[in-house]
Amino acid sequence: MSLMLSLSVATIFGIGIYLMLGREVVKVVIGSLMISQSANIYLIGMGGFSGGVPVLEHGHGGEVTDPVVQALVLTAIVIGFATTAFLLSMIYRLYDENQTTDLEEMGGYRK
Amino acid sequence: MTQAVIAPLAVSLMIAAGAIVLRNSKWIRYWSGFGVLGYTVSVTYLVARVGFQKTLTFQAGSWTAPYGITLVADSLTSLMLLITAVVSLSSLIYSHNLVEESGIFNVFMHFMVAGMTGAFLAGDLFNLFVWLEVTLMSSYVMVSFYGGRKETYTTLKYVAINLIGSSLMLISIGGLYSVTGTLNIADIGLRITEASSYGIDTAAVPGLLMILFSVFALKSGLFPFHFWVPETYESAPAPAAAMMAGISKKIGIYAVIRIFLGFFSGAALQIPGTGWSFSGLLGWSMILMASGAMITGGLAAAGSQKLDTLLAYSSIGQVGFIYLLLGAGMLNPDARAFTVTAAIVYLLHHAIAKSSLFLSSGLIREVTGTYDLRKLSGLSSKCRELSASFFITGFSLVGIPPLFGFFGKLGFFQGLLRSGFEFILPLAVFSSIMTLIYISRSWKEVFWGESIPVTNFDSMKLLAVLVGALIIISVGIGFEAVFQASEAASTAAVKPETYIEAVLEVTE
Repeated sequence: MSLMLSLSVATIFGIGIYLMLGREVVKVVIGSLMISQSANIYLIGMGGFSGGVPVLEHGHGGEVTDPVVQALVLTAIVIGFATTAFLLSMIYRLYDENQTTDLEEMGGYRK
Repeated sequence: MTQAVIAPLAVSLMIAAGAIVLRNSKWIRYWSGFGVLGYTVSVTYLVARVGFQKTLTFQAGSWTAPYGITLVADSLTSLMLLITAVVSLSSLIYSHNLVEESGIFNVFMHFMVAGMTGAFLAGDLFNLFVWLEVTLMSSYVMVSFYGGRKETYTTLKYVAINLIGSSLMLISIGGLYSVTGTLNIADIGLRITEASSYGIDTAAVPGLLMILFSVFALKSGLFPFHFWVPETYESAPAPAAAMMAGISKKIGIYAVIRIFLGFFSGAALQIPGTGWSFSGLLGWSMILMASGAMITGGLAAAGSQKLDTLLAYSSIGQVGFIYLLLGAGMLNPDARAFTVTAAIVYLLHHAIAKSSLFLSSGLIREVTGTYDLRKLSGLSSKCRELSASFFITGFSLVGIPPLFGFFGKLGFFQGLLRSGFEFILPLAVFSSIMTLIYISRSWKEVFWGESIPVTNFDSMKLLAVLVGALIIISVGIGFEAVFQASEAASTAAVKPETYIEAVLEVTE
């Protein structure tokens, strides 16, 4: 399980970096989204999967999985969601103003 | 446990929420003014309660640390909150008529204040992360506020860079949690310092801490993570740039002082596979990065043709000065208390001087329509208050006695001597001379010579600019009190025993 998890974290992080290095602004945003998602999966993995029952007494004494990391990930997902929504609106605005989604063409504002 | 700790945070959040409701009404100005005054009062109350010695805690929902969310205020926190109150007061006075154009600006100014307050009060790493995100989210909106082509493009880069920074911070937090089983900063520090008695394997900790340090370096714009700074400060409206350069950057420095020079300074961590100690590696990295910042910041500021670019590069260089002191303190435990005191004095001075300079540059831009040093000229005959204020804050940055900045520079050089880093003195002198060059150059270009046509000066904005200059003069005269406060803050940071006892409620 943890090997699977670390492999998927590595793959998603790698894809994210690859996408961010491109020129297409939409891909850059998707790339940054993937990086933050891989950080979330990593966080889940850090808590481990030691058990299968809820923390409270409903589980009747079984092993519990650490709930703290799940609370952290929920918060991190919400923050990532807000940031991504903001980034997407920025893309729309960029497209509106430049009529292109190519970062190099956009960079020409200095002229 | 005391409610005074959460008061500044509660007040700033309520004001921000109220500002959302009132954003399109004419009452927003009064609400905003009332809010920032209320914030200042709550901060003053907290500072009075904390004093020089005490550490107050607030355990949210009475869940005791390390399980619950803890807010902590000691003398370092209260000093940072005080400076936040001062800078946000002058920035909000300055932005009083930006409000008429768009009330949303004020909403995000208040959220930024709330985020900074939370970050300074946070007692655990994850809360620090969340409040940093609140601050950043507001700053994203600030940077994109004018909504032109350039601003939008800058915002995209700024957000993307900080999104990576946030992911790295999450990775570091997750790793530290996995190693130590706690998120509370005091508890993490305690467990890593006494790793063997808790049965913790610390092999991964140096790497995780270095990731955390690079995130804080990114947030505080330290070389080589400084590349986002100039464009971002150029794009943001002047009061937002003042807040970001004045306070938001200092969150990173505050966290480095609190975490690395405080809680982890006693830990005997080794880099696996080498004979290096973690504090040695971190200290030398800080010194190298700070030297790079002082050189690039100084040279680039001296070569800038625009006032706001000049100030942004200057801010990169000045952050270098602070980190150099911190690095020296990291490497020399005997001089640590003094170098951290000097760093805090420098930080306070930079927060006030740079925010006032950014407000001045915004006002100059407003009356002349340009930031270009080659076009600006002769403003001293148009507005004496502005030129006096620019002169005082600018030359305080250089370190001319008897202004506040003189004591910052004095402490800086004394700190280097006491910690045995005399060999960096030539570099520090070089960077100080660069400061003198770019400040006197901008002073000469903007205020001397034939006057160019200007529009009317807004008296409220002049007031906001003058606040910084007045503080710099009065602190220059009564420096003793500020030094004592900084010394108390430094003691609270580098000797974290009282903090740990207060947070974890250790009862003997």
